[in-house]
Amino acid sequence: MRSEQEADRALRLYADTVRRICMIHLKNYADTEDIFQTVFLKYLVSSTAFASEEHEKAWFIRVTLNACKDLLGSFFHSRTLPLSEVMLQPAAQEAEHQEVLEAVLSLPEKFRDVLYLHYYEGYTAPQMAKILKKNVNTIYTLLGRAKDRLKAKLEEDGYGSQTV
Amino acid sequence: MDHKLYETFDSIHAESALVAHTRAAMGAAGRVRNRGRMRVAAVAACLAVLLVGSGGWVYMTPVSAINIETNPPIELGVNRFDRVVSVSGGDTLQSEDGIKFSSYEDAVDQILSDPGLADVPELSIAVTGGSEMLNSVENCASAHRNVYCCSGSEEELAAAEAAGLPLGKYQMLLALQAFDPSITVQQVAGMTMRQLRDELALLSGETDENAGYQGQGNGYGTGDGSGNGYGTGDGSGNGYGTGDGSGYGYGTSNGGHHSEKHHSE
Repeated sequence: MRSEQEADRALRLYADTVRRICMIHLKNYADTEDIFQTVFLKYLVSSTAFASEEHEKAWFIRVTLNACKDLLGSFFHSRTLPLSEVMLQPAAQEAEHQEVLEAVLSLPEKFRDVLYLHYYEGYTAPQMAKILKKNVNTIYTLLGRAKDRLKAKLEEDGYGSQTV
Repeated sequence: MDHKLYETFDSIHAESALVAHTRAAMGAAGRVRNRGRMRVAAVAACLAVLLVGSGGWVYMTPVSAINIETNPPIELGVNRFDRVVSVSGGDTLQSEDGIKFSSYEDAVDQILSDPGLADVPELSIAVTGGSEMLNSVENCASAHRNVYCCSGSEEELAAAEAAGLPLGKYQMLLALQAFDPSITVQQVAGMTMRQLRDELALLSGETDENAGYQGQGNGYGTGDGSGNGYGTGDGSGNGYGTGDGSGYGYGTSNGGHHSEKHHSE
């Protein structure tokens, strides 16, 4: 059981990271709130000792990904459609960002993960392989395909073909 | 595209409401956990107090008593573990230290060896702890002269106290009154145990030996060979045993008094 100060520090440091992963996996705010709280409560009761902040961050990413997958894979979730489904998730206010985000979200899950981890968190393929528990070559392949698919999607949407 | 992707992801932030809710949930979880821990701690503390309390109560409750009839009498409360847990009226003792919480045998031994009791002519010890305790106390007392032990119930002890007599004398009074109802408490109080026993023997027509009462103070000599003397007489009688061997002397008299001498080497 961690202290309230520790929990508060983690919330300040990793709230956005967890929120972003929720964003690229979950479709509604209720689920996001659910997973967000689950992850931080897990941190609160976890006795894992972290060697560094990087280690801690990787833990948060791993736990959030697992929690999202658990939720999406649950029988209840796969058979129901919450009313809030129609509500668009907040965030990403700017139209430009919104378009890119929608393009990312239109990709399969496996591509979204590598795009986020590589382009935003700056992880290398071997680091991603560890976090996602996949072969390094698989990561390279996924990353290559994700880039291609995103590019195609953005071009298809007519978004800044000159910038892509 | 790399930059655009970065900016897009960077534009996503955890909503302040989401963070606030999560912070509240974590605080509540911490409090619940702490409350649970405090509850466990409280229950454990209660149990510990209960255990120590009941253990202490069991240990500190006297279940039998040893009354040593000095003036004022010393009363030792003995718990179920044969330990002395209370000492009252030990004013005549020069040192009371070490009596409390020692075994009652040690305590009796220590009290009887106390220099403050050296000049007491006769001591009576009353035990309410049954025959086993009486035997043990008799064993302790056998090393000392003129100590009489007897055992009785709480009720007898209370009755003896009411009559103002040591339990041994009270029992003697009852026995004597069975033969001679005119004998009073005052008479008994003024006599020694030895005299009382002789009196009883006289009244019951039995000798000291088969009267069924045993008193410490008979002299025994041990050694090689044997020799004994036996004397009776009217008015006074004395008996003594001399010799290199064991001598055992006793005397009975019609006059109610007798003296005895023992010599042993």
